[in-house]
Amino acid sequence: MDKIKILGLLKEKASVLQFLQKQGVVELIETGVSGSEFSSELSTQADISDQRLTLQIQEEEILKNQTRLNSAIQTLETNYANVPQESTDFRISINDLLSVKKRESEILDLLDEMKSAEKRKIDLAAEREQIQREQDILQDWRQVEIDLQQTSTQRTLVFLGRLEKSALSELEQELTEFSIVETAILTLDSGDTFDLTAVIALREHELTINQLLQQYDFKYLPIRKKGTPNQIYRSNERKINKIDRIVVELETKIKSIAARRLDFCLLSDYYAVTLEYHSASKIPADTLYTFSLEGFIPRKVSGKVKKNLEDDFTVFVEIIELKPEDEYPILLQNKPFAGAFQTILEMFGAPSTREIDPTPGLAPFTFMFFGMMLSDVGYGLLLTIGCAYLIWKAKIDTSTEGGKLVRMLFLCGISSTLWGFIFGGFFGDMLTLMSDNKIAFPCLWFNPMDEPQKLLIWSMIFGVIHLFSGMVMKIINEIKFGKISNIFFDIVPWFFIIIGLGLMFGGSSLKITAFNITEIGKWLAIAGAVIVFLFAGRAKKNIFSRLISGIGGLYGVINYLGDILSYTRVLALVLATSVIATVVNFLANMVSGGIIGWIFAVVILVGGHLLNLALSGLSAYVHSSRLQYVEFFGQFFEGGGRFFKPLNYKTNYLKINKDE
Amino acid sequence: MEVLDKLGPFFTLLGAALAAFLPGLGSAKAVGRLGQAINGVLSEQPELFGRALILQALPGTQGIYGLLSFFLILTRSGLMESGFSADITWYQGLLWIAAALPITIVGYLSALHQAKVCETGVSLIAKRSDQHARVIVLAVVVETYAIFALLASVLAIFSLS
Repeated sequence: MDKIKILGLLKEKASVLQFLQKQGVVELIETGVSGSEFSSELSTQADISDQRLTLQIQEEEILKNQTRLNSAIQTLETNYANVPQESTDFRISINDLLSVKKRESEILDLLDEMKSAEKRKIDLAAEREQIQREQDILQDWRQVEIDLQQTSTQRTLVFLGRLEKSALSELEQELTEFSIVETAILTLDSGDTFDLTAVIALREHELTINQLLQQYDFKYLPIRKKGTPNQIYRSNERKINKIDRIVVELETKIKSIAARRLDFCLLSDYYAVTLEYHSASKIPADTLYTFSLEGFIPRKVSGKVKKNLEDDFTVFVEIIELKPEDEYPILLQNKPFAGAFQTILEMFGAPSTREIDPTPGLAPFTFMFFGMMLSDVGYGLLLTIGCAYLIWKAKIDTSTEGGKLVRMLFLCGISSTLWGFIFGGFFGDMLTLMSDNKIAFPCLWFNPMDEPQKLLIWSMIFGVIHLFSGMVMKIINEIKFGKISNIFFDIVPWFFIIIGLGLMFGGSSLKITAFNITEIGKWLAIAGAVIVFLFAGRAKKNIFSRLISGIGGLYGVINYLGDILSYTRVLALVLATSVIATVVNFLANMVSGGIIGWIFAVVILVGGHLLNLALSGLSAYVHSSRLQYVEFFGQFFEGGGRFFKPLNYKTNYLKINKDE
Repeated sequence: MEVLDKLGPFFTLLGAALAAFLPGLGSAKAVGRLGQAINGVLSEQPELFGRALILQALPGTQGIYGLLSFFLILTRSGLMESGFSADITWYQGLLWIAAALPITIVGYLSALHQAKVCETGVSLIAKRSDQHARVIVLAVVVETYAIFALLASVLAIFSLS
């Protein structure tokens, strides 16, 4: 990583920044020379703040439009996803992306059109619903030939509504009891269980009548419009038809806009790129006529970028080589295989500038442990084929977080297939069960279901190898830091102790008779322990506190024991995958027989195995990551760095085609 | 003692049933609680569904481990082939129960504790969806102990048969 300093003419600042954004290899930083201090003699404060203000207003406008575009894209993607698009090419060259500026107002007009059409549609739907509710009520009243607005005379009131048939006589009785005899109850029309009634009463009785009617559950007709119910019903029908026609028109209009939704994506991404550019150009350090920029640039390209800048612009470019002690962002560089596993490190955090990139050490072990945990030829092949389809057929962007994961899972699938052959698993015991024990899937090493203890030992042995490579990483780091003595006092003795203890307790199973292997193990462990005891506290002057540190150092054996035992999860997850697969096969076998039985069996097999692949795959992924984070990184990883984030074109919807 | 002798298959099935039902119960509680928390977040940010679903699935594994132990006990003890009339003494039956205990207890409790980690994780990814992977790792640290308990049960089951 190098530091780049650019000094140039202010009128060229925009094009220089655009050039840098296009290259995508420079991370700009605040220079530390604040704008005002740097420019007080040459440029007035007012000038600068004026510029800032315009920039800010522009930016707010862009943000607002971008939000509207994104919400429109989401609406179109959810409601009109099946509308064929005019163009489905999501790859675009940088120049094409930038030239969308010319069509900005056209696309924004289209957006407004779509938004207003959407709003109109929603309003109309609400209106239609209200009319429809009126229709439902009017339906029963269509035979009644009275004007609904004509509901009172000077002295009388007319109450229109529905009354249950059973309530009629009681109501009449009650009216006589209250001695309101000047009241008429007219039955206008009869339904199955109810009558449509008009209650005509004197105005002075309004209150009492209302109370009585409510008591008998009289359903008032809420419509008071001019015309007979049938006339109103007809006119409502015409209104609904009209609304439906307009909605269809609006739908076609929105669909025609939906066909051009790529334009929305395009403009939204253009805005994203512009905002990125804006945030870079806001870094102050301008005078009236010049600007200065500072940033980080990978050493590989720094010379080329300097030359290009100086050729095309009136600028002075200075490249400063950085040393590990300086603080700079981290850009990881790995071979394709290890690079595929870089995503695991990226999730954890960046290493510091001084230490080794752990990816090459992490990659083979993630490959191995994931494969072991999902060891099944069937699952492995499904995973590999699925990921291969995504990478080469669906052409997903492998530079995104999800794309990197798919690339890693592709390799993990291959590993699972290999381990499937080693442990002899093809969708669990599918072949054996379906062929009535006639065919057994070949197993190259041993079947963990028959010899779980063997796999228990082996997963711990693989764990020790993993831990040892973590310790080798530590040795490399100590060499980088120039602390050679640490290697001999803090790391090497632990190799002795772990190997020694391993030989002491497990050496007899190696069946070596030429020499006493347990005895060798014992002395190796003792030698290691003595070194740790004597030198763990070597920084301490006081002899007693040094010895106490020595005992503390020996306590580290518990940590290593815990780390090694942690690898036994490999066995548990191997068993989990294969036992669940066996259970699925068992259930399918139980229902099979007859056509319906076989249909059920196939449903169980497909659903069950896909579910197991998803769950066991998730377990394998998270647990192999955990073994890296806690056990492997625990040996050496310092961390605390941050990843390199160059100024470039970050788009949300489209994929930039760099070649053009 | 005659009655006791007939209890062998019953004890064995009891052990298997414990292993299936308690971790399953724990997982169901955990997954259910998480589902509620996730629904709240989805009302604001429906695009988080995929990430949230993975978090919800995490404490569901304990139930699977329980089911796994159930099947292993049934097949390894011979209950399944013999149709529950296997020749198992009451003492052996108790041993099968003991073998089922680690996954039964730790499976149940770890599912609940893992759900708590995931629940706070859900509110974390609602604010910062890029922290998704770290939430998973934190939850998996809890699951480690369910796995160790499963391992203990499985090793006991294999050595009993």
